[in-house]
Amino acid sequence: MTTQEKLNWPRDEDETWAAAVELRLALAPHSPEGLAGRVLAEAYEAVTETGRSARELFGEPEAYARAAADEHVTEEARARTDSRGMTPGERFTAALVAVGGTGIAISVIRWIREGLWVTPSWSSIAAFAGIAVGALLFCAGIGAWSAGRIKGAGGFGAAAGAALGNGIAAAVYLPDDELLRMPVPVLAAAGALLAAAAAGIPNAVLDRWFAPSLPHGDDERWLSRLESLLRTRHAMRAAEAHSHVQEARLHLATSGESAADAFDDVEVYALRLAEGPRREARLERRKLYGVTLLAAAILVVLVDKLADPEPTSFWFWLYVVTAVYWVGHTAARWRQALRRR
Amino acid sequence: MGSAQSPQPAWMRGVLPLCLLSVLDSEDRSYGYALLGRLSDAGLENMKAATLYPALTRLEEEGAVEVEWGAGDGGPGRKYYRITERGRARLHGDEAAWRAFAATVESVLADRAPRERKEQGEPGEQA
Repeated sequence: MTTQEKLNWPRDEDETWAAAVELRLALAPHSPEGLAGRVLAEAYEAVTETGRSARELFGEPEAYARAAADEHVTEEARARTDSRGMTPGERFTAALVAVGGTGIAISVIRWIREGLWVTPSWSSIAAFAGIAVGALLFCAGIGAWSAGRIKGAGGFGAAAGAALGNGIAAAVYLPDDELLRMPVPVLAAAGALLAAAAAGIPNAVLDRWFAPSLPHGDDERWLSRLESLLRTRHAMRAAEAHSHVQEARLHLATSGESAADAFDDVEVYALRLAEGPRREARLERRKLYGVTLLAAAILVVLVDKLADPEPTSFWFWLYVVTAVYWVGHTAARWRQALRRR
Repeated sequence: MGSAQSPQPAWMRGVLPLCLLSVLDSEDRSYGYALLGRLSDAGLENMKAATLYPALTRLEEEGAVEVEWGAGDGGPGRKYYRITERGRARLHGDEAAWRAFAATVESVLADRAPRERKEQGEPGEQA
């Protein structure tokens, strides 16, 4: 039963407003249990007592829900999450579930296009293993990046690239003879198993795994962690992050305090430095880089497909349309970003 | 007792930008540790670096102060803050708003005073 069912809103528009607030609060990360109920009960009281609409009293539902979530979610909880509101463990889990889901989707498409059976060879097994191991290492890299571990993320990324490269290299040299016949749903089941296993690992365990140890009194480690957090979790440019670290270092040298005493928890301090008016622009810039990277990868595959076109294939045209849409979408976002400057 | 008279942390955070702009308006430029000292001398002893620098960063992002790196006293360079014209305009607006708000709170507190005197049994009230 939802909160909405308990409250008899006087107008349809109030009910729509409340539904939007409830949805936003349900999606808000780390919001305390029952927050939507409390927030909507207060709003309902004000609406029924004043006779004015919820939108008139509280404004747009998205903004109101965001303000309510910010007010009720502790600074410590917000400091431990990235721009998507996920802890490193949650980010790792989400990436693994996405990989598992992609595996299921590819298996199903393969089933539809080419039938129930696949005939793997040593070559295709090597390629599959390289892609699978590379994807798992890439997921670990995402978790490390979210935890503010730049070197760790780089290491996982390099290992993922190496696994992928080795898999492809092995696929080229290994024999292409059919080894066995197996039904495609086995691959889909493997994807589902991965997603289920990822969802089953407690996030607290993963968070501990990704969180670096920070001995009390080691100011250089504290400052280095601050810089990493600002650059990764808060999408700050290297020069800007370095400027904050330099200022903190000077403060410690002048005051004689330890970093932990002067600035408290490093994750909370990083959040405070990063949540000013430029935060949204920083996050938007990062998203734009991600979208551009994906567009570049799509373009490379598109060029390859156009070199050997299959005009009678539905999948060929589906890819072409998707690629053209994505490249156009990326160009439009760049235009918007440049206009805002 | 000192702790009873200490302002609430939320009040400190709320008035910190106003206090920082006011101090910066009285000087050509200043840096974090010196500003912390000025606030402490003025009575805000509990202000911590963990609160001060993020507030300065926010003021800089809002365009109320500008940052410049300059030579330190015989040491490495310092990050100095200087109030901008936009910061001065904000300071004047916030100062007026603060004085009006403080006067309102003061008048609410003053309204309570006669009842307190009555409860304490002042001769005038008993008659």
